[in-house]
Amino acid sequence: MNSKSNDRKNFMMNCKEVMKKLSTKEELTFFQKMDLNIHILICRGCTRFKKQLQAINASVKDLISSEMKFEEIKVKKMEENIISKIQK
Amino acid sequence: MSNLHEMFSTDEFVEKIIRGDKEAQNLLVSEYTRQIYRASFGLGFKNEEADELVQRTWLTFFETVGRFEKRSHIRTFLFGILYFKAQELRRSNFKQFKMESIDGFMDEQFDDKGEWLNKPLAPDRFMESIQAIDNIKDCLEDIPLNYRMAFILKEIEEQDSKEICKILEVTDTNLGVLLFRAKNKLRTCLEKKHEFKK
Repeated sequence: MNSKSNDRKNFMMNCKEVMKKLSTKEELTFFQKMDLNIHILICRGCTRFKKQLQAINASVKDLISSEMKFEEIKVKKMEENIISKIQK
Repeated sequence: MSNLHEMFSTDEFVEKIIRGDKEAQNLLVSEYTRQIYRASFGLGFKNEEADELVQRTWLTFFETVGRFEKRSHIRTFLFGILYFKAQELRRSNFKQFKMESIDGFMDEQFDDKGEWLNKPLAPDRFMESIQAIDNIKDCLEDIPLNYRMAFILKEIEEQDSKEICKILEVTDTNLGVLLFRAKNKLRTCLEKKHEFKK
């Protein structure tokens, strides 16, 4: 994409606002969502930022699932343990 | 699973739990133990500590469910207890952060027009950093418990924001701040790890 500043002035959101909205996951109106998506489309920095957030989520999910896989047997035992404790 | 989740929110079911109905208890425990376990890992507890946390959470739940006011879902109540117990277990390490606004934190990263001063790392470089599993573990360790709880409930457990606000006892604005700080601490930490490699 060519020089950004001329195109960008027409849009409501700048990078700072995009970053904030992507991070806080606040609810957006239809038009805000559109603005957000258009900005990300044309902005390399924000595209990267969004991908980074997605990568972080995926990575943390993977980390936790691999830890969980390891402990699968424990979950069943834990359940039985709890039940026996509260139902004695 | 969502059918069970809905059934659990009915007054009938909650009454059963309060009365100590064994079948209801079995159902509840078998449905949510995995989630609490997973959340415990997400919060950074391992092995015996995670087991301890899960147990304490459930025991406290059944001890106090008589006081449950039914103003939220029963799972919200459960996770609220998990959060409380997690804080207990981490009392010495629990870092309190002031609920500052986001803006000060952001000013250093953006210019006057609100554009990136230093663009985020290119995807392939960022991925290198994030795929080193130790990096993500280390970066998670630095996140205070409240930020971490917000992050895993929202992004990993994918719970509803309104429920998360009740679990953490914060407003939706505050939740936004917690999520913001968690994600950006993680992000900048991972970017820094990449720089050290060079």
